[in-house]
Amino acid sequence: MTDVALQMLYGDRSKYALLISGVCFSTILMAQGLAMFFGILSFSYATLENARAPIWVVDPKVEQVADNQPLKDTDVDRVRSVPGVAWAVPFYTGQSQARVLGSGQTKPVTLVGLDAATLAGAPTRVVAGFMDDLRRSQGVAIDEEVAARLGGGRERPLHVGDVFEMNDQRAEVVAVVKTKQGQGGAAYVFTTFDRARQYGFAQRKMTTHVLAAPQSGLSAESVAASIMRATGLRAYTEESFKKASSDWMIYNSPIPFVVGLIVGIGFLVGVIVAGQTFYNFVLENTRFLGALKAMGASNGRLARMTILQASVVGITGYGIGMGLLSLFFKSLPEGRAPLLLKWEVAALVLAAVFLIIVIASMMGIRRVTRIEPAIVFRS
Amino acid sequence: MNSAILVRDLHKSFRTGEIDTPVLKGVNLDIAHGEMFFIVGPSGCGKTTLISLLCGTLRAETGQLEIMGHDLRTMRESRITQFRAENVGFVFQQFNLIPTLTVAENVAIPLRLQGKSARTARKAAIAMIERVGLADKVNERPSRLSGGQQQRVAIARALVHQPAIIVCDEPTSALDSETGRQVMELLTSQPGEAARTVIVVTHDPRIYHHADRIAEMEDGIIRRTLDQTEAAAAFNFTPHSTLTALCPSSFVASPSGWH
Repeated sequence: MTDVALQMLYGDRSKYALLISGVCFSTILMAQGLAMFFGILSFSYATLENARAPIWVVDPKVEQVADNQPLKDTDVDRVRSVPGVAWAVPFYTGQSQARVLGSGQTKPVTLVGLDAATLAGAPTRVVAGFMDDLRRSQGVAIDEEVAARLGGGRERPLHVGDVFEMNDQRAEVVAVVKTKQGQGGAAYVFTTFDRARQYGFAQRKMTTHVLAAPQSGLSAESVAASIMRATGLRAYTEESFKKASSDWMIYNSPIPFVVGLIVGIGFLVGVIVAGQTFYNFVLENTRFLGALKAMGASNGRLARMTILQASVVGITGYGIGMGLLSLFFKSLPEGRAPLLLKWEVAALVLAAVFLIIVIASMMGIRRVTRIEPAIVFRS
Repeated sequence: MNSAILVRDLHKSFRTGEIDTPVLKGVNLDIAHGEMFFIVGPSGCGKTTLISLLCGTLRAETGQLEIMGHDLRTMRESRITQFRAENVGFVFQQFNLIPTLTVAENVAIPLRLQGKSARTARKAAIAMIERVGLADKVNERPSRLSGGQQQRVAIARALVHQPAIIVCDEPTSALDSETGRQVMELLTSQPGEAARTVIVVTHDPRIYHHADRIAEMEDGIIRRTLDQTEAAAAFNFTPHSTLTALCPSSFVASPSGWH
């Protein structure tokens, strides 16, 4: 009877379209809410993805990567001296203002200072120029988004060889890189650690992080633990620092509430539209379902038919919704919108759609099992 | 009498809030195998309740109810459902054809409910549709058929699984005279297999002459049961057997309509 159940569903095209639309719309709402949630969370640890290092050492009070508590310059050497550490370099990250020469416009940027000798933590996706040229006087690498923003008033974005100012200091673009946007929307500018002292807002101690790596054969976790024991500083692996940063965002920002609201509304839309439409679909077919019952269809059989119909609606609506959302996300500039369509999003939304299907099915089955077969004899 | 249906002192009432409304107040019936049995009477006399009980779509409270030797009162619900699927065919007043299925798919439903494959059921359904004269409508949707054609499809659906009993609820009331006549001819001739017990509930005196016996109901009881001769005298029609002998396939008009 599966074919009969499906034809009853497909045959009522307007209702079928409405059911699919309900689940599809609900899927889009929930998925974009969750994608935004994960996207914003990923912004919270953008620095960790733009400057890669296996171990990040910070002040013991630091709870997330954007919390820049200065370290002593000597802390770098203390980390280096811990057994199991292959290398350790100073790292600076902080805010600054970039000014376009000529127009005088200023834009906020996240300034990153890399160890000049090793350039450890330098971004790997270079669009133009060479990262090694950071060692040149006034050399900076800019994110392509900065290049576009600082090109305000010009005919083209900033490019290699162009000049702008940070903290009244002249900076020359030697490379254009692709990085992920950070919190607050400020894009990244990379330079050497020493030059970051000039470009950044002045402070006595400039080292915000120490980047380190374990010796070959040792795990980042064990070496991070050794660093903490030996120095009293806090040492994170890249993954644990990402988690700490996103956890901090979850517990200290209104984002979970806002996203929860969006996802909740999406779920409610799904339950109300799909559930109610599906219930109406069953209601409108009461007479035919009654006839099937009279002819010998058991409650169990009709319930299975109902579940099949609801499942087809759910899977189709979910598929179309996720497909449309993926296409939309693909059309956006990479790494700019706070949207991250992870498999967790797909799985969570699938679970929610499953719940919608269960609720819609239960509403339908409740109605189906209550249909008296004798209804067919009433005119 | 060799009873297909045996009913003794059958009672049924419906509860609305605190009020119990008795609908059947001690019905007694014997319907033989192969009999064309009509139940007639005014609206509200309990006809619909009685056929609902006779085919197991409702359950009686007290009394005896045996169909084909099975005691429906003691059967579990699931067994009754299975019993209906195997032994009862239905012809409804409003046809109740599923609008999104084709004619063949609608007719195949009783066989599908018995667990037959779609292919086997379709083959049998098409054969039955041909017998009711709708071979060219096999793949049409019910909405594209006339009322008479839809009722013929419903008859094909009622017969396709060779049930022992066919229950017809006002089979001609939604049809014009000529179409109603054709539908009754179809039911009377029972295309396909051996004669079955046919129970017809009707208000339509134009089809009374098709009955072997007529039970007249009033206020929840069978007031009288008439054989064909008695019914012809009581309702002023020419018995079908006489008509068939005189002019087997003709239509005979009378002041009260056609028969």
